[in-house]
Amino acid sequence: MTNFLRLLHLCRPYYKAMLLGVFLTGLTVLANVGLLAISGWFLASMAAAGIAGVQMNYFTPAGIIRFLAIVRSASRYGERLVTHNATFLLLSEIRVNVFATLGKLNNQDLAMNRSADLFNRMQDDVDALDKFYLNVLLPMLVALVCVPIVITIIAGFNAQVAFICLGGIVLVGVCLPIRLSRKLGCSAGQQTQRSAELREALSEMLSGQRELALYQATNSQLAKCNAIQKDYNDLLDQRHKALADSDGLSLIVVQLAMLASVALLVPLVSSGQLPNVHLAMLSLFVLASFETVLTLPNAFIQLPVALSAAGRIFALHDKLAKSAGFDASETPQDLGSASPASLPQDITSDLGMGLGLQNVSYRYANAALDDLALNNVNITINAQQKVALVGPSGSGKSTLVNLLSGLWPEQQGRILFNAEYEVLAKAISFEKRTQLMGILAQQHHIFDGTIADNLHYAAPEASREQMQTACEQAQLGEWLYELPNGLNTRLGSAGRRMSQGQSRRLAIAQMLLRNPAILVLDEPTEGLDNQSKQAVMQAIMLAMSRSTVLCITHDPDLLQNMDKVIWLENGKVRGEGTHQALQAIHGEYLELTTRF
Amino acid sequence: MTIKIRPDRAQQMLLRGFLKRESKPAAGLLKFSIALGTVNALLMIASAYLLAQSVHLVMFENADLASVSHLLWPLAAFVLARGLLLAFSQRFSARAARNIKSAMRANLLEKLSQLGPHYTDKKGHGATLNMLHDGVEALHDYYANYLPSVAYSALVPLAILMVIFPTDWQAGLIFLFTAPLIPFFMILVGHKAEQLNQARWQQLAVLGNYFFDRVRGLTQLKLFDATKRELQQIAGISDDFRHATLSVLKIAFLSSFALEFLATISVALVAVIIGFRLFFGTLDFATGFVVLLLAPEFYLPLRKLGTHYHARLEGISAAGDMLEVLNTPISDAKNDSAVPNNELNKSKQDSQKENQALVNMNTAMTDIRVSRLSFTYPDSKEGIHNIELTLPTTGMVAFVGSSGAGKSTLFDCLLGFHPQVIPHISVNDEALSVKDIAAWQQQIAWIPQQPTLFYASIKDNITLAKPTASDAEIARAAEQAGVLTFIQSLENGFDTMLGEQGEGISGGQKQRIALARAFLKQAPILILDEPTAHLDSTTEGIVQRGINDYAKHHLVLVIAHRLNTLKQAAHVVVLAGGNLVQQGSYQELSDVQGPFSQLITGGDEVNAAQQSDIND
Repeated sequence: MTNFLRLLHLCRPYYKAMLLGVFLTGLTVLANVGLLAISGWFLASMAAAGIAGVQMNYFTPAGIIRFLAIVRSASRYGERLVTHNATFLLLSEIRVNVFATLGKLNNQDLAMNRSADLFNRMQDDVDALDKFYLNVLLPMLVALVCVPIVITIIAGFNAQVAFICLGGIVLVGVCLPIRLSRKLGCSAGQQTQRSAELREALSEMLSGQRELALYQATNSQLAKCNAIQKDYNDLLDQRHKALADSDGLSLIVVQLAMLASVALLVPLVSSGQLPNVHLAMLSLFVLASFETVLTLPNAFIQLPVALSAAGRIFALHDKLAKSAGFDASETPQDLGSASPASLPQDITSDLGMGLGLQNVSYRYANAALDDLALNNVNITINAQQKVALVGPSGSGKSTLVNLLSGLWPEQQGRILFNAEYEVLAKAISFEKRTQLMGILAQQHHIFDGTIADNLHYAAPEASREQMQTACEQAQLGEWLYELPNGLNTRLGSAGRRMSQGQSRRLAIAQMLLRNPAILVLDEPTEGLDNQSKQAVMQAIMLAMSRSTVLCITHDPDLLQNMDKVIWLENGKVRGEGTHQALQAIHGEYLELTTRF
Repeated sequence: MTIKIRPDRAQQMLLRGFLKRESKPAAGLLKFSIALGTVNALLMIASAYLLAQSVHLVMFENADLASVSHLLWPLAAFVLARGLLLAFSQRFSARAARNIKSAMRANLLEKLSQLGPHYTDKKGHGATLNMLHDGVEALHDYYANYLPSVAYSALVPLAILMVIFPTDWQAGLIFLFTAPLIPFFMILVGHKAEQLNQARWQQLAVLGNYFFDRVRGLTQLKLFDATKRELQQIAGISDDFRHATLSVLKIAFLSSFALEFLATISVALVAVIIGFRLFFGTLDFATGFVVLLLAPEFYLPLRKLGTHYHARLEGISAAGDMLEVLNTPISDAKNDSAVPNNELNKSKQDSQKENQALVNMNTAMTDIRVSRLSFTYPDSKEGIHNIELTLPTTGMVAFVGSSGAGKSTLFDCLLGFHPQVIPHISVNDEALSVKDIAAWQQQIAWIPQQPTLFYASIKDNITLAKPTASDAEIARAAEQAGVLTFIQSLENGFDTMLGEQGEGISGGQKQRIALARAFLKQAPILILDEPTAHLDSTTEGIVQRGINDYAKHHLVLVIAHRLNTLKQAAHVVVLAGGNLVQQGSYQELSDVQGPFSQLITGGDEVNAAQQSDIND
């Protein structure tokens, strides 16, 4: 219920457009009901008048019929435009809202970014909420407005018929759909689960094609896929059966309500208590009155879907309220106390900036007490120094990068920016921090949009010449010149596909445009061939000669050119020195850095 | 929501034909469902007659309830029958769609496994998966809803006309007069509205894509401090799209407005005309009332057809990819072979003997040779050229080279994934033929860089190659791979489920389970691609020891990425630019200045690649 109210609250800014939609939809429905009822009455009256040989005013009802037909068509057209407009308004509201929430959430709460499954679910949730007005709210409001009107009019002729009609409407519009939605709701969870299982089995089938062939297991995996598909289909079957049965039942209820009304009215007509003309009209009226709840069943089926979607989306929102400790856009309050003798907002990158970690430890939320991802790490990097970070997987390199970026909250120890004086990283705003420090993460996202759009994200003020230069420095120049649309070439899922190396180089171009005082690179040359690898790194080192660089890499070429190498293992600093020195002392280090 | 280029009209015709052919497995069921739906429509017409007749009798013939009960009881029976018919018709059409879907998915899977891994690589893993999962699901609405509604939109109006005419030809004429509007509607809805509708769906998809793409890249936006800017952007774009889409909708809805308007005004017209005929006594009320009851039903199927428009479009665009897969000839992969024809023929003639040879190979493989092996991918320049190689039956042979040197291509050839080059591999002096591939693959165990662990128990994953293996055998294989203690430490031991749905395990453990899988097979040849990622040193040590032991009695071919592996290998083969440029023992190769020493010292091996790169 609270979710429903919160959803309504979201709709509030657009209540005018939404109510107009309800009005027009109601008008359409009522015009249609009126059209059928009056046609029935008109036909019966004309026949009666013809038989009795009396005159009647047929111009008015004939005119009304034509008028209602026009009203119905016109209001239907208007209704569709208005309701779609309202839907888009709500859609925009919801998306802006969701994005704002996600944007402020701490990256650890954003589990969705790591799991494709969760991301897909959020996508479905937002899609479901998009149609909340059109599928749920509108039919309910229209039924609330129209049913009383229709029932009151019928009651004016005969209360019992009105009662039957109301019973039928409640049965078809509310009871059956709620029963159906319960049934569907039960299997919906299982269905998602099975669908995910099927997807995974199919995915394994594709990615493991070679192994399956070699282990002569292709047929058994095929059989497994088909078995999972069968389970999934059985569930879908239940769903379709429930839907079909509900449709059949609705038809029976509607027709029987009409039949019961006729059976009820016949004795009244034959005893003369009811004018005979009313029989034809009321039978059609009852039939048509069900139009008021035509879309209501779907609304009741969609309601729990929308509510649980809203629940999950609002839960994100609530998480934000709880984890107020981290806020991407605002300066932390503990500014004065945490940074002794410094005015954080004054720090500039002109003089170069160093980086320091003092006793930094980090433990994952569900890890054992002594299982530290980073264990008392001390690192000092002087301004403009070029430093490499080396270590096997699981040694804590990525944790370190995430802590430096400020996306993960610090747990223990201090991260410092050193300019003229030491500044606690925590004490400066996230905004300032992203300006000072550029991070080239391993999972780099190329946005749907043009190359220029992508570069603009990194540097909103960059001119096209600057972009061009940055691309050339990142060894993308040749590629760019061959593109007929140049910087306006679309990238991403709807646009041009990029190789891993190309997207890596675009990320580097973005970094060159940002020109941060401290640059952190996570495996920058991964996916590049030997020639461009060297050219790209030369370009980075040249362009960043005034910056401090921390680079995760195992590439011997790169390591040789670094001022210093820090060797990380099991969350601790295992060794520190030049590449040549480390190689000479440690056989393990040699083994670690020699790959081809 | 992804944007796909919608097929044009000619393609749509082709795809509709394809979808019709694919409906064969359930064509009977589908027809039965449509038959039930049509009977339902006929009963609806009969009910209209019964109702009109009873109302007429009561109104104008002074009949009471008892005297119309012989009409009302059948009417009630019809209502129940119609409910049942509707439910069963829908159930059957859903079941038909399910059967077609299942058959389609099974066919696609089988075809894909026949086409081989290279085809999937080329099409893209994600795209193929989407086709198999969501694409096939999209067919449901096409078969269950759209196809039946096409049938009804032809059958129901026809049935109404056929029944009305004998009763009252003048009323029939009214319908016949409005009937030509139907094809007119069809064209109206089908043509102009289709384009506009397409535009509308695409606009929505673009909007959705934009939003979800930005959500996916949220971390990136944060690092660029661009979230606030993007928020405004999203609001702005949503608004722009609203305006753009509404102006499209204004026109798109016009066509359905015309359809609604004509249908409604026709009903109104029928009512008014019949009213006047009743007034002047040229028609009895029962017939007039029937016509009024049937008039809306006459147009209903067509209006319903419009609501299934989206199902049609989705189904047709999904069908495009499926048609492509199913129509790819299996021999395609074999046609672009570099094998001279006579050689293929020869191997065919010898196939009898070959099978014989393979049986022998099982017991004693004394000599494995690769001669004049060349392979180039049809759509790229990369490949391998004229590889000559003699392999021992035991010991470790390491392959090295920079990326793009042709190591993976050579291994794919050795593994039998490019059937056209298999005659270039000979065992005991007999060339293999395409027919021998399965038997050849039985001699091989393989571990790729990133092994696939299936959503199944650890045990099932290890016994993939040998489902009949005993627990002792499995435990021994796991021990050799150095993963036994880890598995035993798990709560469910060997029954622990793996995969995204199951327990998450680290890359190192994954690698070791794959190793256990390979060891269990006890194949004469073990082929593996060393992981480039830096596993922790303990894992690397364990894996190395296991492989060294295995190499004592078997042949191990390894793509080496680590110095240690090279030192352990009996023989090192150096590849560059698709050519075999150097081979020998580690010591021999290190002693001379050449491609190998350059690779090892990590110096300017650019030269080595350039020297041998004959493509450029």
